[in-house]
Amino acid sequence: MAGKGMRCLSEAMRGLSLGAQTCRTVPVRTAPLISRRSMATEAPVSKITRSVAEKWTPITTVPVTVHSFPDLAPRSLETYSAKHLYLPLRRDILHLAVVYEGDNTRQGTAQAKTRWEVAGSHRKVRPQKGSGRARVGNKQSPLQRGGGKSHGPRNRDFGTKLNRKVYDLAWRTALSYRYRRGELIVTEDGLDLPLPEDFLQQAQDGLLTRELEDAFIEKYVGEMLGAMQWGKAHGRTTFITGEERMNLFTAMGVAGENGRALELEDVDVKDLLETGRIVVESSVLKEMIKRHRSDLVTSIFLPGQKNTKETTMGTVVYPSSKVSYT
Amino acid sequence: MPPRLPFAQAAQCCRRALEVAPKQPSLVSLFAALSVQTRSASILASLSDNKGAYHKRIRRGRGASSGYGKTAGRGMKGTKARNKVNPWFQGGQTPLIFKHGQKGFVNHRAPVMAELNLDRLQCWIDAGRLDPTKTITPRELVRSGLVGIKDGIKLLARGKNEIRTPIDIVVSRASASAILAVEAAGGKITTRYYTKAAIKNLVAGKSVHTDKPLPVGPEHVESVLQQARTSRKHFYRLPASRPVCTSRCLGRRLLWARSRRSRPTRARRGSFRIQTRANWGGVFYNDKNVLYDARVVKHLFYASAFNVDFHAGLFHVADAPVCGVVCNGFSQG
Repeated sequence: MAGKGMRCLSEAMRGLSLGAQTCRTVPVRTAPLISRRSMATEAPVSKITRSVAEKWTPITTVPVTVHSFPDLAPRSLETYSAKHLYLPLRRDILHLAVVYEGDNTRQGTAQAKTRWEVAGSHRKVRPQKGSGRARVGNKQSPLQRGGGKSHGPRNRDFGTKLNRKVYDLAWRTALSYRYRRGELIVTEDGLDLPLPEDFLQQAQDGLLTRELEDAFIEKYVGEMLGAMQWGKAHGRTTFITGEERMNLFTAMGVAGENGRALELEDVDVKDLLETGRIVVESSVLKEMIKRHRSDLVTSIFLPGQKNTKETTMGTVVYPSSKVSYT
Repeated sequence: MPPRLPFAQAAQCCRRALEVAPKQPSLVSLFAALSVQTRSASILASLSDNKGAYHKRIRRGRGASSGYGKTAGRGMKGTKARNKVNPWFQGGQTPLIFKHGQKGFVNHRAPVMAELNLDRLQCWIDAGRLDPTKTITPRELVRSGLVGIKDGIKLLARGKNEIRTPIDIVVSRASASAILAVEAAGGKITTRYYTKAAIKNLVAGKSVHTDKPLPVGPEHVESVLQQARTSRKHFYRLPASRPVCTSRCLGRRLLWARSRRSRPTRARRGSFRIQTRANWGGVFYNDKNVLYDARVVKHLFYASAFNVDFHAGLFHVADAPVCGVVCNGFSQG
């Protein structure tokens, strides 16, 4: 019993060890400044504040590694403007965008018939007086069984408005939030899920039933994403591609508990914030930013004037085109 | 932050780091790793708008629990419970507004000046946002974020004891105490007439600030034409950069002049005022075609320094300086 417990503990320790997590930054625990005692021999505190006289030069670009999928080998290095992928987190802006999307997603198609819409004769049900019962008009009255609904739902548009520049800022803020947390994984174009060759062959030959296929895919995707620490236990994964990729979209439809796959057209801010991480094609990321930068790029074009305020977006730093690899 | 990748994938980019990693991690590093957050929590639940961005509408007359239920906050019976009472109502007595009518008016066309106080000016200079070694024009003031673009800039004297840097500043107007404070610090103020468009042009670099007068006379034609042909960019010349006379000798008062495009009519009106009213206004030109403020002319007129041709709106000075922002020649008059 005790031996089993110790084994479990040692396994857990091994899993949590630094060697297993080379890419993580390990937070160094330090006591808060107030509770720290100052010593006579204390070394000077590292400079964390900036003097007013010093010029503030914030970073203007951030690097993005483009990986291959699914082995996630680094393929190239791109540069994006800090205004695209390194914006400060604005929860209010994100909130506005998410609420705006939610409002505009509502169907608003609930409809109940009023007493004027319920079919039938509007004849008086019985005489006003003399029956010994309550007075009553027609049978469409809301009080009657089968009558109309008073104050029922009507078809309406729940949509609200949001300034385009605010929405675009929210979009890039969401991407920046993901980038900052290391949850934005950029892959090469043509992101798709490779399936085992023999499985594809058997499926093509019609040897597998629908249930068998689905069961295999579900298990395969679950194990694959689980091994990558991208699965259900790690907050699921959203794959975003330019157009529908057959294997990926079918597989994620079946193994939906481990993630989802979306086309660029179907993505909105809420999707970017939902799951544990975003896996996006390089060109799709560029296209996203291109579509959502109305607050950065003027829409007014004057003849003979160039828009010189274009910021870097996906400039490839490595491999450099000048260097030849032989 | 680089993407969080699982171990097998991370190994590809961090192979070297793995090789030097100790085989048996110390206990300290093990517990440090414990604090790495692995649970994924969506940010969606913690999104909210800024505090105060939403005002929940008060729903009056919608039940006692709202606090505005039965009487909807209007108290008990009476006129105010039922109707609105006009703000000028005086209980039946003839209201003032009907008894005496409206008094005064609001001049919607009055120029709205951007106010600039001396303490802020000094603060900007101290912070290095303004360069006091050069002339501070509206262009510098606007571009440093000290004032916005309005119909003009007026220098006011708040914090007049703080100003210590000698500055050479050009603004639309200045208060008397502000002038005193700036000149006491060894500075100089020039006032000019600006419009909103003029300041915009100046800020955008379409026009230039200059204290040189407009060249007048046939001898200047050739050089001006030559410059226009050779220079690549055309700058507007602000109307205010036509020669303006300010005088520091007249009780250290600063006089500002408006340049006028239509010279004869304005000048005639000015000369008319000379004859009839004590209030001098308008502008005058001397025989060298230099523009003068009426108040300068007034002083000189009383000092009999020159003759005024009232009908032509011109005056003649025997040895008047041709131009200059500060006409020291008048100090003798």
